[in-house]
Amino acid sequence: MKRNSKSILIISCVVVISCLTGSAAGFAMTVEELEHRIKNNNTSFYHEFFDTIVYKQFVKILQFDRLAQEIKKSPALDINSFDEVPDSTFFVNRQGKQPLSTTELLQGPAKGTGPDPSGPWRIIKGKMEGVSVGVFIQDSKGDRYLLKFDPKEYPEMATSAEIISHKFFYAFGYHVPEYYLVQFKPDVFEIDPAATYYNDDGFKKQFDQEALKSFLEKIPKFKGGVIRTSATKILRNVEGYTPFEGRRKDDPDDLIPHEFRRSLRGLRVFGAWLNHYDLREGNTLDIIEEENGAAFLKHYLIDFGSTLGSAASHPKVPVAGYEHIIDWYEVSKATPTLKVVEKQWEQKWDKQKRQISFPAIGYFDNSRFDPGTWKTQLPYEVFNRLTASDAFWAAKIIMSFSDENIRAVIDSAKFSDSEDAKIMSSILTARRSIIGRYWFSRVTPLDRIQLSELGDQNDHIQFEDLNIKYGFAAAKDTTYRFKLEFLGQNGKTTHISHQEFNSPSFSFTIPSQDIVRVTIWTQARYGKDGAWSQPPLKIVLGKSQNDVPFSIVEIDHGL
Amino acid sequence: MKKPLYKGLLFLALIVFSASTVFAQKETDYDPYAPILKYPRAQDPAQIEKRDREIFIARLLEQPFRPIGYALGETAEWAERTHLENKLTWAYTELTSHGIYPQLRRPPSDSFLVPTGLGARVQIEKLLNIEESFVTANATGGWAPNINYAGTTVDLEGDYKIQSSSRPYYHNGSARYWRSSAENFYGIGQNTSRGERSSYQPEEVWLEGGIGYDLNESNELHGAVVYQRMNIGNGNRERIGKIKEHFPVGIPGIDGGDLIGLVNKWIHDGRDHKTDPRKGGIQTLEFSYFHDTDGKDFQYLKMAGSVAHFFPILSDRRVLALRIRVEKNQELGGGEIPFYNLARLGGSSIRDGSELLRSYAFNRYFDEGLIVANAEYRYNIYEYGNFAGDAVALFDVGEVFEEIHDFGFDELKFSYGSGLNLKYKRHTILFFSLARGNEGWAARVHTHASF
Repeated sequence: MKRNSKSILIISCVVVISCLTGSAAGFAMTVEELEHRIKNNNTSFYHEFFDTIVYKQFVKILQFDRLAQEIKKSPALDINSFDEVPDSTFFVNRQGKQPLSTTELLQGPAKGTGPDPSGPWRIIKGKMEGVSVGVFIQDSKGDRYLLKFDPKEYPEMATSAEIISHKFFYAFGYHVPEYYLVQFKPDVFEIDPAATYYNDDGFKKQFDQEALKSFLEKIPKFKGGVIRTSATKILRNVEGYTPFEGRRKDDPDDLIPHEFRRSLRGLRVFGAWLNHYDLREGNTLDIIEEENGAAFLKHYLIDFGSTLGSAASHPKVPVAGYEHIIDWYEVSKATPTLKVVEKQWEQKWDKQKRQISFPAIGYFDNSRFDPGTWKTQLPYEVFNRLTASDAFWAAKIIMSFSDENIRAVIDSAKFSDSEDAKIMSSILTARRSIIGRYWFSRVTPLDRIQLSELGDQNDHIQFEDLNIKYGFAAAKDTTYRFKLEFLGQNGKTTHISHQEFNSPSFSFTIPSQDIVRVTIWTQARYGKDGAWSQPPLKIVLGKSQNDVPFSIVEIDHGL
Repeated sequence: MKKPLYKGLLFLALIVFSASTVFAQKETDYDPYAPILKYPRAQDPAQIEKRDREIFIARLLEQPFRPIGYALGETAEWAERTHLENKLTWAYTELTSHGIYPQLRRPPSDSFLVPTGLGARVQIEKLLNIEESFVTANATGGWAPNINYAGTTVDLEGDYKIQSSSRPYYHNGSARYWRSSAENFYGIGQNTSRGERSSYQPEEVWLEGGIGYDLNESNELHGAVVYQRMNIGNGNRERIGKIKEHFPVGIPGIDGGDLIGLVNKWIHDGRDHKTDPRKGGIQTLEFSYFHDTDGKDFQYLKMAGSVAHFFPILSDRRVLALRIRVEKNQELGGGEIPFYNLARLGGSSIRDGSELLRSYAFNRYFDEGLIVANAEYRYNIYEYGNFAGDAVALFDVGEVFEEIHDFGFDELKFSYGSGLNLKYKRHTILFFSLARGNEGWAARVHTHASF
């Protein structure tokens, strides 16, 4: 037992050091060393489609670990003792830690002002990959950008989605490239003589004036011939993508299988809020970066043009978010029922007379939106592994955005019709609450746990009830209860059964000086006839020596 | 002395009170975002190795499939990176812009896995860049290996149509050559047995010249003079009897024949979509007269009609498709009807000439008369953009007979089953059907819907 505790302690120290330094086992690598070690990986939509829709669905029954996960979910392994995700190369606590100011929110990942609209912009190549077309340019400062545009029939739709969503994803805590909304006149373009593109027929062609002309014809123009684009600053030192399952074994810092990372599991909840159905491996980038002389692989999320109501080149198809691109489960469910009842998304689409009401928004609303069943385009195991506490973690970050925050971010997309901004704002505000209400009901939604010592072996716990904070429940109708377990130095445990209370704090007495560990299970009941929240919130207090006060050593919202 | 003591005590009390208020609620601070991992062992190299090993063992059964999955995944990626889809679309568009339409050829079959051949239709005026819009002409040809690769099916056809865009009437003509190495034949009548199965090798030349009148957008009248020359040989299929050995006498037309005929048709097509109808219907009526030209004493009248209608049930995602077809070939002047022109029942594709009775073999029943009804409940089970899938509950009932009074309800043959219709932009890519009836199960696949 003792040796085991010792080894855990040593490992903890190593992990803490490695987390802080950003490298495994504390051994910092140089950029050259890391570049040498990392093998660039590639993927594409077709590859991912085949893997997730065909291969993995077929071999699922042969993967016993996955089958076991279907029966019992496993906790995330990248969380700390307080049920939070510490900063890493995948995630940095921003909005969750301390709500960002409006200025910080609007700034997002931007470090500059984007390409100078006065030009010249040299076209390096055309982009055919992905669903939306674009061009790679180099601006007068020598910075490279990918310019993406709206589909002609849906002006502002894709560019707005990208501008709004990348700011939110950055605020959540993900690493995101710099995106800029730029309005410019096409005369800023110059063409590099070596520029090429793939035409609609799939053949590589020289990007000449004629290609530019035909390219510009596909793009909506605004008053005065102005063109609107979302410009992404090109990331350098790209070393492939982040797999959503397993590890990058060539990355010395990548020690936790990605399906066990809360920061990646939680993308399902963040994705549901922003309707980011295109969350997939191909929309990630792994970049070698250096900090204090130590190189590490940083994991970025890219491409937000298929969020909200946009699917980049067209509005989202009505089924998006409800089913995967081929959803074997939904198909097998629909077949024997003879379609006696139509699907939720079909009813919704019919109710809208199968029309897109707001071209700048695309197809996006909250009617029949269910955060628990929302799906990405491709099915990934990492999203399937989402536990209630993973989702709670993500939901409380989403809930921390105020109505004003949301409106400010939406306004940064500069919709030409303020009605579009208003509608988008109301959708996201309501969707935020739907998500919060849903996931908070799956755990005991108590947060900001504080322990105070009252002296004489008396301790006091205070917390914030997020259901009350966000108006999902009334304080006067809410009851709490706790039960305790004391662990003595001799290994003996004593229990105190449930005690009810009404305010978001409670006190208790530790029966003896010998107690080294106190476990508290807390539950809440909303409304007089409501059930006690499940699973209970577990708070563990501990002390390393007899003469030091107790402190919180663990918080667990359960699975 | 008393005063200072009092003051001192008061001061002491104040200190104690202040200290008690300050220290009574001593908050023990912690950083909720501290990098103290809850499961530090998850990052222990020995644990990582152990976990990787356990995952490998848990997925041991998957290992043989991994190379296949890897290869197919890489192929998919290669296809995307090389823009293969765009190139294939370009190639197809290029061909069609020159009037060349590639086609697939699949011989009539009784089984799920059928060899597939190739064919093409060439639109002559497009190929030759002829501007006259009132002439359309096609040359069509195709080849496919037959079941068990024991022979081939070949077809060649040329046709033309002359119609002014402002005039409702038209003239058309066609010439077709068709040969198949083996077609089913079980004898004539409704009581033939599966054990009587034999095969024949038809070789046909069909010439047609006609005129037509478009009554309106959905109504058409058509009349034509046709010439049919048919050679019949023994079929070429392993372990299947040959028609001339199996049925040495009593089958009219077993040695082929030459016929001339007068064909009259009325077609009303009110469907909302040709390949994926969800409402409306199509009706046809045919009266034709045939006579031999080689003294083989063939003379008969063909009367046939069919009605198909598509009923959306509260939504266009649920469609009840109903179809009925009645046919009667009536000998005239003591003549006979060659067996290859009799009504046929059995199989899963009306395009092959034998009516739908999907749990039965292709060409299962031949006779002068036929009545068949098909019902399908088609309901959408999948839709994602332009891709869609319909599940189909199907039911067929039919019977062949020599004379109307021979028809008996107790002789009706049934098929029931289900199907899956996979579509792209409302065009069937693949249609799978699985049907059951008195003669067992039949699973088939086509590149078109049933009707």
